[in-house]
Amino acid sequence: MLRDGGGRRSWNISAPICFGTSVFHIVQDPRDPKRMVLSSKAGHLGPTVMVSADGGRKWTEAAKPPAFPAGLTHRSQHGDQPRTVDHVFWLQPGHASQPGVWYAGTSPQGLFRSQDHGRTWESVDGFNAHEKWHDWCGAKEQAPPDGARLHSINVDPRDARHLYIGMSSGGVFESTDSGASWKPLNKGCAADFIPVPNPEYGHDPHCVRLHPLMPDRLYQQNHCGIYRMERARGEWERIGTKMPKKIGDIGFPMVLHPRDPDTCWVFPMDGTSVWPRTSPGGKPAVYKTTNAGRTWTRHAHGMPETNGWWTVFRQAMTADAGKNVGVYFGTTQGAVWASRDEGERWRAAAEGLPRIQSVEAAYL
Amino acid sequence: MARTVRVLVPGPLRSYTGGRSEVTLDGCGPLLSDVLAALDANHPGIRFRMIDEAGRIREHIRLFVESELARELHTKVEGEVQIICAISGGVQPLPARPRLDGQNAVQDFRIRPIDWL
Repeated sequence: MLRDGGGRRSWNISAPICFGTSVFHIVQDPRDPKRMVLSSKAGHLGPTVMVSADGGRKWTEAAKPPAFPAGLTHRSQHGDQPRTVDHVFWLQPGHASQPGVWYAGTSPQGLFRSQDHGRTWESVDGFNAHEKWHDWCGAKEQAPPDGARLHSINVDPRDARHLYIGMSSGGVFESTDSGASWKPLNKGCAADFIPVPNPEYGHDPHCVRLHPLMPDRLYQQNHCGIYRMERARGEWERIGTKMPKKIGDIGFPMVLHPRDPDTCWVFPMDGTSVWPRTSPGGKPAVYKTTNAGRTWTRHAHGMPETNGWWTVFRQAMTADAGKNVGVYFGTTQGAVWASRDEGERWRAAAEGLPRIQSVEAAYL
Repeated sequence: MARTVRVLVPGPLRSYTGGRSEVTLDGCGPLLSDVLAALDANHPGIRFRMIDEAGRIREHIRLFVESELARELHTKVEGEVQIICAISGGVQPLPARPRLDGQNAVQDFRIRPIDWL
């Protein structure tokens, strides 16, 4: 945990939390800021979830971590296999009107709900046991190399029953009944790795964000570009076409400005050939739009000008709620970078850490 | 018949046992599944880190009962269970294993874990 040493100019790093485990996501509860939930997996052991009620000082393991119900299967070239959680990938606090409710997305793709601040988790069977789950999620071998993940769980601030999810092997889906039923929401989004034109699902969103002040606007960093959807129009529009051609519009994270629905940040990644998980040309940079994707500007002041052969995963970039918004990202090479001026200038806040999966800003 | 079972716990799971590398369980049922249930009752959460929700031993966990690799949870236990976190790797398949004493079992396992799958 990095704590502001004053004016967001310097950062003090704590001792490791859950030392030796992979933490895919660590999230503060905006409804009760002392509460936090993290997902954890150690090398040899099965996945679990840890909860804190004191701002991250003490962590207690969930009494019942996410686990698929008996009888659910996963198709495979070796026949149907029991479906079991490999890791908990994404955590999302529930609606403001539902204190204690959290959602979790897993790999293989599953959705789980807790009603007790993350202590016990139940399967959202409307998704996990849906008759089309196998069609939507594909067979085991169709997953990306790191596993197919359910992520980007968004809760409509106007309606606790209205949920969106992103699936790295399936696309964006929507529920208007608290997860009891689902429908795909991928119209207009490319899926050039599928040999079917304009498929209804099967897409690969990397990160989907709903703006809380404009909940009918969604942004998406997808495997096939950067998109925005206005729900009234009902189609994804590829706003990444306005990115410089030599940079492209491939990447993992999508970060929204907390008060301006037209402003967001992305972190482009080399998507030209073998997807090396590096910045294009080894020159890392944040790109920012202030007009909902009509134009993008490059911001790399302070970052390495060459040989920056790293990138940023989807949970590893975030913004705070400061007057001048702070933007933060963690790299695949274990550095945390911070900007205190809305992404214009950057400084390393920490270096020499392991590969970073998740960066979240929290006020304690 | 209820029995006392000694369980040897590897480093990654000792957060559940208060740092102890060995715990003793009294009144266990006869099967490995009974031992794991008793272990989880005393050290909540430890079983799920080793056994998935379909009841399968996780990919990188090995359970030795009386120094023999147990492939199934209905293996009978006399007095000792050793939990091993597998070291991934292995070079080539071994022929079917003869019965090994405990010392050799651990050594072979560390060198060629894949052979045991």
